[in-house]
Amino acid sequence: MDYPVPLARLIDELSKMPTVGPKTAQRMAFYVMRLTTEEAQSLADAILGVKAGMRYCSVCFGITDTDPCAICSNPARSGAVLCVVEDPRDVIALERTREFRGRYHVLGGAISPLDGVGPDDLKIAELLSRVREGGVTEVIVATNPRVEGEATAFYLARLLKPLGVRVTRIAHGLPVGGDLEYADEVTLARALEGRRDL
Amino acid sequence: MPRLRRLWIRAFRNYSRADIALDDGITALVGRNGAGKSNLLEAVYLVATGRSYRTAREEEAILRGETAARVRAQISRRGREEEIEITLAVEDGRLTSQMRVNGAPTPRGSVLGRLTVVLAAPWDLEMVRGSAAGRRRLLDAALAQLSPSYFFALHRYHRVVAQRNAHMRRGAPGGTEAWDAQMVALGVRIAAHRTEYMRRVAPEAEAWFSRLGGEGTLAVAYRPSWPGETDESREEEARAQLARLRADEIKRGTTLSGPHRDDVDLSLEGAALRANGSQGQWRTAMLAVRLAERGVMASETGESPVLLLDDAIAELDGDRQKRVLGLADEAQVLLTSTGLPQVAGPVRVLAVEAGAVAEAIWSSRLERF
Repeated sequence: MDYPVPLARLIDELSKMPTVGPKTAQRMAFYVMRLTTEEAQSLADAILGVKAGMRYCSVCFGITDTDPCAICSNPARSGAVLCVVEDPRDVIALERTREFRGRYHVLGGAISPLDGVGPDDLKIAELLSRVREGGVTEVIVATNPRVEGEATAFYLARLLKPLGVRVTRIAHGLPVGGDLEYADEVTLARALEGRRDL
Repeated sequence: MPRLRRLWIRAFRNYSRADIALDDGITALVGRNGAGKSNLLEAVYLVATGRSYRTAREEEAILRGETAARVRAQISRRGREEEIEITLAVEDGRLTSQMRVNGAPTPRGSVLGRLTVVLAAPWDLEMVRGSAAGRRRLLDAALAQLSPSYFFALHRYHRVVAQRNAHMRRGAPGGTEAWDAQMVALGVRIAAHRTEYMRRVAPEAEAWFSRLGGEGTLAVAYRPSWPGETDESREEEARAQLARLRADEIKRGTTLSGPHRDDVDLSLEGAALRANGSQGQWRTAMLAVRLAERGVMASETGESPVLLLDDAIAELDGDRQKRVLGLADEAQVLLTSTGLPQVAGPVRVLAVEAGAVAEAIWSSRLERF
């Protein structure tokens, strides 16, 4: 027997979500069905609230509920250093370090011809105009260390250097707190490659 | 010395289940053609390297009527027991694999090298008569087991070439410079590894060829697309070729130089082995190359890899069989044969019978010779 239409519709919607397969979607739908009306309302409100309340910052293209975002409008953050990342989630990760006092620029991905993503599909022109406006002395390229992130970093460096800013790339290597013995071979090999003089 | 202690097989090729305890030294799998002897060696190779050496009809790796095949190997290495496992399954019409070490999902790059293996099989003749791709596998199969950083570089290199090709085919604006830098850096490293490896394999293979009674002089040589004595000269060569081939590459939408175009020359008395040798000489040459591979891997890691000989010594006379199997450093050897091999020392013989049921296959365990 097929599920009754309202339940089938919910399963259908839920299974469109990333990492959610049909079985998980069924389990979630049954969970929702058993919620009280108030709880279901609260879930629905949260979903609609994200749509209504979240947007992309018009300066850095990170996710925000105010425009410009809290980081871009914070006078205590230095506009002299820009950290370029692929994804809004990378901003959250870097913010958790509480080390970085500059501002961000979110590209919205990395160059990947196999996926049909070229420089024009990313917020690169916007980055260049931010730098051209002046006040930026360093751009830290924190794209992912995959080949696509490296190619994007190379591409950005070529465009940014003529503008007279310092362009740096984040280092990659061993996770801190990990013993050498337990690092996987690839990470160790990369760390060896990125060794520096003492 | 890595040792294969036990092999479990479920729904792989013609085996529904098998559970085989293995000893040190030489084990001969004896049975009629089609009994499934080669499938056992393939299972060992698969769990050790994450890849089958049979590329055609991959989906047949899973026993008909089953959804997944599994091979698990209990190995001991440097005094430690470990269990490595591979599961093959078909998802969306494609064969996928998942590897585990001691039960924990593990990427292929971290499984390679735990159970080092060298395999000589009838398919090796493809290296003589087939395309350069087969001969590059000769380099990659050994180097990926020897060096995680080689595996890593090769993996990334292929991705960069695929992206670079896509860039050209899509007529994306701007040049390929963003990809070229990575391609050259990774490619130079790959070529350096391959050069060093072949510098050691070539003389050993040439010596094995005459030791196995091969007529004439075999020569084995690496033919890199970006030749050079040093990384600097390779890089210079790479840059020069990229510049020279640019127009052609854009027209054809594909990358025309680099390690993915490397080759290995096999020649007999100065002429291409493919054109010059008999089938018998081809077989001897390929076995010589595999034995050289084993020797280099053994000296590189300080421990002999497990040697898998799939129907590789049947045509050799008794003396030469002894030469192959009398390897000095106590390698574990698994070989298939339709008859009993000629060896001086003890050999454990397992009879393989047609069919998929383990009990039937392992019903007769002959005495030690």
